[in-house]
Amino acid sequence: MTSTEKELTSLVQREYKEGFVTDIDADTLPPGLNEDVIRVISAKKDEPEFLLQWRLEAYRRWLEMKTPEWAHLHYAPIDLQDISYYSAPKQKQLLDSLDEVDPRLLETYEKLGIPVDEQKVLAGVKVAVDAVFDSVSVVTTFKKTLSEAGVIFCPLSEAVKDYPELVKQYLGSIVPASDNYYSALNSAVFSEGSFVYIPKGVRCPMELSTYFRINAMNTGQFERTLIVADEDSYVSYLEGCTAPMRDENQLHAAVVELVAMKGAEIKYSTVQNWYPGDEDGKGGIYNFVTKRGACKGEGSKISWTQVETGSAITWKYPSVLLEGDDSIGEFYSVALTNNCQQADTGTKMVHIGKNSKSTIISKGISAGRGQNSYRGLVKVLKGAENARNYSQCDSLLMGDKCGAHTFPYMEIKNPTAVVEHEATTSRIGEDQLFYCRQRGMSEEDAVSMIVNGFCKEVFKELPMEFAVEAQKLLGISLEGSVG
Amino acid sequence: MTGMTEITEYYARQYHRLAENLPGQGTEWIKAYRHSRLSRFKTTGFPTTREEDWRYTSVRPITSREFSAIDASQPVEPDLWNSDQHLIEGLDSYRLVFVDGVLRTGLSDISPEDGVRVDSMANVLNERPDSIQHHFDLEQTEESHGFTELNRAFSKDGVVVELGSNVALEKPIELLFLSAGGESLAQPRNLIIAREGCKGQIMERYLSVREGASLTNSLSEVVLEHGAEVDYYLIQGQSSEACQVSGIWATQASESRFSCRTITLGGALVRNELKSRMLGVGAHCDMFGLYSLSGKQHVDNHTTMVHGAPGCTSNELYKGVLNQRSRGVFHGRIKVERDAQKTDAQQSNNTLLLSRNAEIDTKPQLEIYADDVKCSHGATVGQIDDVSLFYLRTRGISESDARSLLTFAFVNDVLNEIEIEPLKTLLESMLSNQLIDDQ
Repeated sequence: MTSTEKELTSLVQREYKEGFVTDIDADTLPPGLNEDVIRVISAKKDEPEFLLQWRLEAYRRWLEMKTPEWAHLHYAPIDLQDISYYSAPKQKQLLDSLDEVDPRLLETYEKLGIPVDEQKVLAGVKVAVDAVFDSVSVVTTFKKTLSEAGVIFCPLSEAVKDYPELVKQYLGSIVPASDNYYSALNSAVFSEGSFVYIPKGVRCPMELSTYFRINAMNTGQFERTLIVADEDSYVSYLEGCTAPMRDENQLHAAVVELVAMKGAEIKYSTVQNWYPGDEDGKGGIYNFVTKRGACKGEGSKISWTQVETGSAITWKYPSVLLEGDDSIGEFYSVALTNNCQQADTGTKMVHIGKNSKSTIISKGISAGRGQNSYRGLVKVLKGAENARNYSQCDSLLMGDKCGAHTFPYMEIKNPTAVVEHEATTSRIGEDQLFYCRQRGMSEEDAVSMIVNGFCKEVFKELPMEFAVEAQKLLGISLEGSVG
Repeated sequence: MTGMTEITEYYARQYHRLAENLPGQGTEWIKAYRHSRLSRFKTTGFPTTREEDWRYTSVRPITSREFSAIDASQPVEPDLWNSDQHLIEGLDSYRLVFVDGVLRTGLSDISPEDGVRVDSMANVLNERPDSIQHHFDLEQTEESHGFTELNRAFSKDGVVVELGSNVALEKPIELLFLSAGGESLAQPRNLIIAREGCKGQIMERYLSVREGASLTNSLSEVVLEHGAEVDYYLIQGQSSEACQVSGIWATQASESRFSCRTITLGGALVRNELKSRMLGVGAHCDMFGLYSLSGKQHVDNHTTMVHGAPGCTSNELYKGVLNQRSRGVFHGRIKVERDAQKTDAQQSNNTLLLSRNAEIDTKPQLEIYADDVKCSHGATVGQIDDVSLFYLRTRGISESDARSLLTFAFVNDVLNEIEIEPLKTLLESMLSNQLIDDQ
């Protein structure tokens, strides 16, 4: 089986191509966290008073909280006083066109393959991009096309000024500041993120995308995304992220909130490719993220799709509160851990409305010394008549030093609920390999086909351009089934 | 009684009152052992729902009362024992009867066949403590909690069974534990040693003989040597006021087979902790469970399968029927250690939720550190299938009969695993009566 091992090795030892650093002057706050730092961030963003108060309140709550320790993760405690909470590339003033953006920034996104120029397209499809560099948004494309449709897509810092009422109404309504340790921290110091509002009855004319880049040293990124889909609207949103290769661990603690009104649908896709650290587990991003959506109205739908390949540590549970009757929640995930990466990820589906349905498909791949855990909760409350859930969690093990774990929780309080959970763990079967070899396939092709087949259910949920990236990330050609 | 500290103190005081008369206290290591267990109990206290392993089970019904160990020097009151009620019809067994955790030789048959040694734990601790010291030394502390330590500190009695090499037990050994109510505390501690190549059936059965609250906090350790085969039964039918915390912990050597069936029909609050550590190559473990609950019963089945050596297999199936305001909890953990290649572990938990006020919390877990494994778990929660119900109705079967038939069919694959015929017959009739009552 040596050639199989070689194939696996080449698959999992792919170099991190996004690990370069952009040399650019930055306006960075000294490390440390206190009320003054929060005031400075708020002042730099020229925020209204209500937001500053909200931040300070969150900070005071955070001071009383403790780091969560229940996850199946092992790492040294993080010194939050050693991190800078704000870093922005130096720019003169507000930008109206791309010509005024520092060419080095544009170059960065060019290198990453992110189209910040409206003339260029990503994998053949037009996508509106909000490019976030450390703590600020560099550029947002297709603003005009979108505003014609009535869609608001802008950096959160702009939304706070332009649409304070909307922000005030929804910010923190799904993930309250006091929800958990990292959401409280984020609420206190969040610096950038995207704001999306889709008005009633509008189908967003193109995919929206935010691309997060950490560049500066010793900084944390605390982005905050808020998406509101009003009645009968539809939006598909993509999120991507990369960071330079550094020996120090960097913290990324984001909060994402989704609100879907009656009949609305939000599709949220992530390809997470933060720097995972080197082979010995040195460096890499700590990705501690709170993502939650609420299906507020009847017949609303929220679908999370994630491909998690990066980060030294991932702690992330995109969840759906199924409040509306006939609402639908979905979670599709592929998580790959290699070298010393650790992931503890999964979802929560809380059934509150009648006839609410949820589907969970989770695929974990562990290689090297990676530890991959699925942790999920399906909760059916008393009033959720005819709730339906189907969960499937499969793990694939490559190598004898990795680990795959599953921790599903089911709490069912309604007798009309039908809940099913299945989990399997195995390695690539020798019989499967043998079958393929017998049909004349090379060992490499066979392995990649089997791994693809394993992830297919999730990949097919990704928008085309992301599926392409996901495919690249796993270093394997998909058998033409994408899209 | 309000605080946890107070109740912990209460048991510590009770221990000091009884300590002198506990079996084996003449032996220095036993005395030290009990003492260290008590101090561990005092530091850990009783578990709370803040602990992950207890998040769905509150031990309030236990900590809100003061249970106390009975004085075993008194003879058993004659009206307590009723062989028609307490025996399983048609079952021929080696029977040991315990009242509130203390062996009553008058009601027991303690002399089985050659090669099998059965003795009370109290006797062993008093007369030949060194023969079991080894097992006490080996015990694990890392996963213990307040109840374990309480049992270890002041268990008064129990049984020590030794099945000799290559012995095939002719009849099952039946351990019948009776609770006499009156806030009594029973803490049996059992040790089963199955020597190389032996084979036998062992049954623990729990009944209440009087109304009133009681607490049974039992701990059984089963040691299986190479090739030993033990079929174990835990049959729980206590009263609706009785609380029970049961531990059955097996350690398995190579090629051994341990099979445990847990049938829970009675009890107010029941927590069962089954654990098997497969430490030898090619060991096999089965755990089958059935819980049929009504009223306000709360039953928590907590199982752990540790695959600690290559080539071990395990199979687990738990089925539950929840009526009225009952609550079921299932926690099944499968851990595959780094060297345990070629592991095959399957687990499944299915629950029928038949009432608006019933609740099931199920939490299967796979923790896997080896790569050449086949592990799976499945869990379902649902109702009686309308189509099947309709089919039976079209055949002229009344709705309530049809429902109990389908429910019975649902649990039947666990009942089919019972190899002691008289027990199976008894449970079948108890279950069908219960299912009819619940309709």
